[in-house]
Amino acid sequence: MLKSKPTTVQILSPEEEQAKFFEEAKNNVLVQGHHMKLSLDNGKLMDALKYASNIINELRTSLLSPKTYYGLYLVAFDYLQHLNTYLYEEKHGKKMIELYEVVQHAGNVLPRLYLLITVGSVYIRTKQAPAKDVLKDLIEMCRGVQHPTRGLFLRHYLSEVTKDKLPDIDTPSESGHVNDSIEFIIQNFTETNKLWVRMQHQAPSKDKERRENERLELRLLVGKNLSRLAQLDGVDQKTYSEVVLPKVLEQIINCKDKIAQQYLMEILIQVFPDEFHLATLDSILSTCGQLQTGVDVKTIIASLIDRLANFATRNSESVPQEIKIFDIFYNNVKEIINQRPNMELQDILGLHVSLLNLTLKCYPTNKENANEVLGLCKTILATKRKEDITKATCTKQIVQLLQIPLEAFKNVLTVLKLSNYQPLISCLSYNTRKKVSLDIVNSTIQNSTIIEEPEDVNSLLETISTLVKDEQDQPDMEDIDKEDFAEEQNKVASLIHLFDSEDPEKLFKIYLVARSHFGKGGQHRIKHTLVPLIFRSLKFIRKLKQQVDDDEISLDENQWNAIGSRIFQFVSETIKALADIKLSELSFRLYLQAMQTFDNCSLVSKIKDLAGKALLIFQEDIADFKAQGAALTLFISTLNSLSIPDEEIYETLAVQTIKQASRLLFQDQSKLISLCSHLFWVDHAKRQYKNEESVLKALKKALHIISNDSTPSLSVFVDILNESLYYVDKNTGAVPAQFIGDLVELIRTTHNKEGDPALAYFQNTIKYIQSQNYSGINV
Amino acid sequence: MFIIVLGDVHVPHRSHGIPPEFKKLLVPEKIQHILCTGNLVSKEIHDYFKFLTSDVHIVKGDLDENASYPDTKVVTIGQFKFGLCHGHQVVPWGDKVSLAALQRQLDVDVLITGHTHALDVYESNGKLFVNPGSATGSFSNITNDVIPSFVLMDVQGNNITVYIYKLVDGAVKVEKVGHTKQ
Amino acid sequence: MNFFSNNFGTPCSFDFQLDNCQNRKTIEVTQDKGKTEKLFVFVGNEPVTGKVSVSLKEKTKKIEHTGIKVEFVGQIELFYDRGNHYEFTSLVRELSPPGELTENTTYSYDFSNVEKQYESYNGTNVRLRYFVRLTIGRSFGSNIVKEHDIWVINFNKAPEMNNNIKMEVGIEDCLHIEFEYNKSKYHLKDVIIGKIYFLLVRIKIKYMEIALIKRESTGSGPNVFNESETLTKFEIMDGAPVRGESIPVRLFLSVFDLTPTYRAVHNKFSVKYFLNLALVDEEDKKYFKQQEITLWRRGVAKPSSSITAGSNTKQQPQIEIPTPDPDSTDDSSD
Repeated sequence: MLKSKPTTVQILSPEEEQAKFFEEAKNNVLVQGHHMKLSLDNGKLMDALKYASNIINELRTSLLSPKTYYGLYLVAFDYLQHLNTYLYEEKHGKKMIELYEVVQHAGNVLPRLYLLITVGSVYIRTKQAPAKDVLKDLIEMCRGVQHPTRGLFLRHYLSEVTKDKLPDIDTPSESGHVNDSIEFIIQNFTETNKLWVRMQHQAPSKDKERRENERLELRLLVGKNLSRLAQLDGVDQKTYSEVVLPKVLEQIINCKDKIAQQYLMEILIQVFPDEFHLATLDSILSTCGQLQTGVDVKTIIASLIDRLANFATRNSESVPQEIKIFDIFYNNVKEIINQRPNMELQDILGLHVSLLNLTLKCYPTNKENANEVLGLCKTILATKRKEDITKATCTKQIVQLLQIPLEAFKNVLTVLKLSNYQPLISCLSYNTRKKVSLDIVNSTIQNSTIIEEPEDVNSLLETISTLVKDEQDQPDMEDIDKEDFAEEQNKVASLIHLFDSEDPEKLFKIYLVARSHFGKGGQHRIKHTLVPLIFRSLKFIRKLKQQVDDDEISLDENQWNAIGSRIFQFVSETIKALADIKLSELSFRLYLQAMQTFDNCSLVSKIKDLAGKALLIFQEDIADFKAQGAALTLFISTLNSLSIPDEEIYETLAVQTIKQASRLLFQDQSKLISLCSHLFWVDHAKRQYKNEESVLKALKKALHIISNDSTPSLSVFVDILNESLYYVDKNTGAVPAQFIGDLVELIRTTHNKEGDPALAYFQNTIKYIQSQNYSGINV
Repeated sequence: MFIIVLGDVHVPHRSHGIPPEFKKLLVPEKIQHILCTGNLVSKEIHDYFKFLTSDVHIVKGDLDENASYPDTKVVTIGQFKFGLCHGHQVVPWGDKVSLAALQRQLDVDVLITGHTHALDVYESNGKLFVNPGSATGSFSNITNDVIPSFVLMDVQGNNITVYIYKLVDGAVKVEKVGHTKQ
Repeated sequence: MNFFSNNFGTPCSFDFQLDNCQNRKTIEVTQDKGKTEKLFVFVGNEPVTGKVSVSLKEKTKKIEHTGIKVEFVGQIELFYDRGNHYEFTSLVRELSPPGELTENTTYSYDFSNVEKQYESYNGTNVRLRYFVRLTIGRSFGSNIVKEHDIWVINFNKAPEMNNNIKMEVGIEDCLHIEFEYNKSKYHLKDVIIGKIYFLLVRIKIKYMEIALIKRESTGSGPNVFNESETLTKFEIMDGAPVRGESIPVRLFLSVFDLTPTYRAVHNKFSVKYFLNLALVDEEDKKYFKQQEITLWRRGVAKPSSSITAGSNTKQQPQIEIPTPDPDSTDDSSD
């Protein structure tokens, strides 16, 4: 107000113009309002009514946008409230019937009606007239305002000032029945909505968007009416179904307006309780079918479904049996999709998602419903083009359709039983198929679902075939992120640990099924997937052997050997598949593992074969010296751990081992040869094999090798010393005390160099020897 | 100072994952160090350890492909030197005499090894020897009937309290062993 | 009243007194030159009796006269025809034979059985008066005359036939409405209840109003003067309706200064009332339909308990109503 007046004519922006109009009108209201209050204070009611009428005259403007108009309405509203309070206090000494007439003398319809409503509400409150009569009269008279914005606000005013005066169940019958209130509100709702819809047609079509926005700003004025209905105690389920809903729906359908239908359906679902919707599902859904093109029916139905699904979850007992929620929704959704050929595919799919959620929340164990939803979806997708289906928005929904059963059933076996599940995956693009397959895998792992039947394994691996084998539409291997790929394959590989059965015959069949699937995976995949299969097979036969030993399973030796051979063949062929793709170190180690297992299972005949295969890999495919050392160490320790009763086989292997060790670099050679001493001294529960002479020979040979090295390493000397001490500690008699003493002396005199990193090792060993007080060893 | 000691996970070779019962116990804020005996054998498990704490020490198991893992590693935490080795290199596997030699070689106060999938914590010659077993309780050719286990060490000055976690029939059992440096 | 009235300089003054007027209603009537006068209201053939006192002024010793008489006159005055007063009733009572008036004297008069078939009326071009006139005749000099008006109203019997008014009007392919008023005959405190149905709307209507128009016709034959007066403009609709809407009408007549409908009063004048329904479009074009209603004066008022005045059988309470009518005109549209 302190703004200095510009001297030049300014062109105001629409916002500034609105602000200006608003300020002017508001100031007028304030001035008239002030006079009104003064008159009331002085007991001059008639003057006050005149000023009140002047206030409302400002609301007759057509200059304001709905939003600005609302601001002005609020200012006026406050004054009318003040008047309302005054009238109720009855200081004016007038009968309400007189005032009710007096205000109707106003020449203009808008002030007349605002005042009439104001007086009317007091009239009800003072109980000088039955509420029902006053309400009926007010609602009838309000027809006089046909201007959309002014009418909307007038009717909102009517609704606001009567809201606490509506006859409800506790109202004495002479004042009115709840039915009077229902009729009143519904009429106000209907008229309000008609005005709201009419707003749309008032603007030139170029202003359509602005007009739509303005309308949306006013939508609450219409929706409030439905909230009022919901607030009436007397609107119980029966009244709602028989009286309220049919009338509301009639108006929604008849108004033929996209925005109104959308909003009103949403608000209807929102304001009334779930129980009511449950009882009237058919009407609501069939209404959805009759809405205008362009109404987002999907959102409406989805919100209803989601609400009822949550309701059913919370109150599983209170959902009446006779209401077949799923069937009603399913049939209606099907019908609506048929009726609306232009419905977006993503919306159709969205409805399916909601349906699926609904059935799984309401009927968590019912597979048939879920399968039906997926089936309907499948049928619809069959009629659509691939490029529509693979749109991101549609894909997202299909993925959800596939995820929901996984989350709901928490059991991949149940999901695999849905006959329409797998076909839905097939219509997706490669990456999405892969994603869904991974979801299936993850769900299986997270829920630790044990799969016991070979057919189920088969079905699972077929379902996730995108992960299991190459597919026509997959990208080039070079374009695939190696880490992601490895992670995916590791997940798939993990599944094998969930394939299990108490029945050995079945379990082996499972492994065969898995092998046949994974075998198609190609070199990048089998590297991950076959290894667990090998370990599981090893575990399998070990367990079987245990059961035979414990007499849980009765097999004679021939039978056992036959089974052993089958599994051996399975395992060794599987390892060979890895060896064939030059995973040398891996397959070497797997052969060693297999050796241990078959040794444990008294299938000695297989050991030579496996050892031979391992050594062959060692010789031909492990080139790196370090790797050779590591491999040979493992070979020695493996041999040491075996129970081989056949001395001939064992000794052949021992000789071969030493021969291989001798091919290594001097340092490694020396260390390895000293380790080879363990080939001649085996002392564990399964085997006793003691060849003192060879032990000492090996140690001496090791010492000889390292001593001839050009730069002999202290560390290797101490290693040999410690190996020697092993035999002393074990009281073998293989290593004489003299040998230890001489060796210590040799190291001390020859190789004990300042700053050698192995010095601590040496000193620790000396300290150890000293602490043991071996007889004959004095260092 | 809490140190998690574990290894021989073998995911996905021999197991589909660390048991959820253990995962619940392994919370990021509580753990300062992880000493792992190896055989993870996948990057996912490595990442999982890294998620628990940034100070992760891993040695190479016989089936680990990761070439960056060393055969042995010595880590000093507080007043203790920890020696870490998978243990498949020790002949015979798990032999206490051989492990003692490895302890002398690494010149450590605590020697941690795995491979046998048999949980074992003992003192010998004043040194502490720890084998945390297999965190997934996975299949082993050495030990029958493996159960999932790992070890938590609480280092306080000269003392280590060793908590042994075992998963028996779906329930976590804890034992406690004390060790003082000599 | 004649400017050269002999009141001025009359040797005496008069004081009319009417009997039974303690509780009689009065009415303010605007006479010439905006002078208002309070008149007693007589209903129908109520007797008009009373006294008139003649007081001699101080200087006056005596008044010689040719006789004193009092008359009761009903007369119609047409303003355009000044001077021609049509007395439709006149009754004379001789009060005194010729002689001298020497002292203040009071005379009684009694017009018990005068028929007063017309109501008093004070219009634009015509006036219907009832008055008592005292005349002191003089042989030279003009007579001394003094008039005293009363106001007469007549209660009507409720009409036997009272149909509603219902009519369909429109402009082809443009606007088609049907309107309905609950009666054709309304008493003066009545409420007009009606409804406007929109059967076809192709114009952009801004508002709709009802005007109550009074038309006074004077003269006869080719010399008829019509004087129309819009008593009120009453907005009944704001904004544009669509097809199918019906708009209520409720107009309280008690607010307005109305007379009953007069038809050919003594063949001199008529007063008629019309309801003019007008629709105004956004270009301020007006569409209207005028319809006569008959007004009548109701004798006995029964207070109504109805709040809505909604049904045409119910009657309106008679209440003294100040008329706030704060915003009755919006003349821009005319």
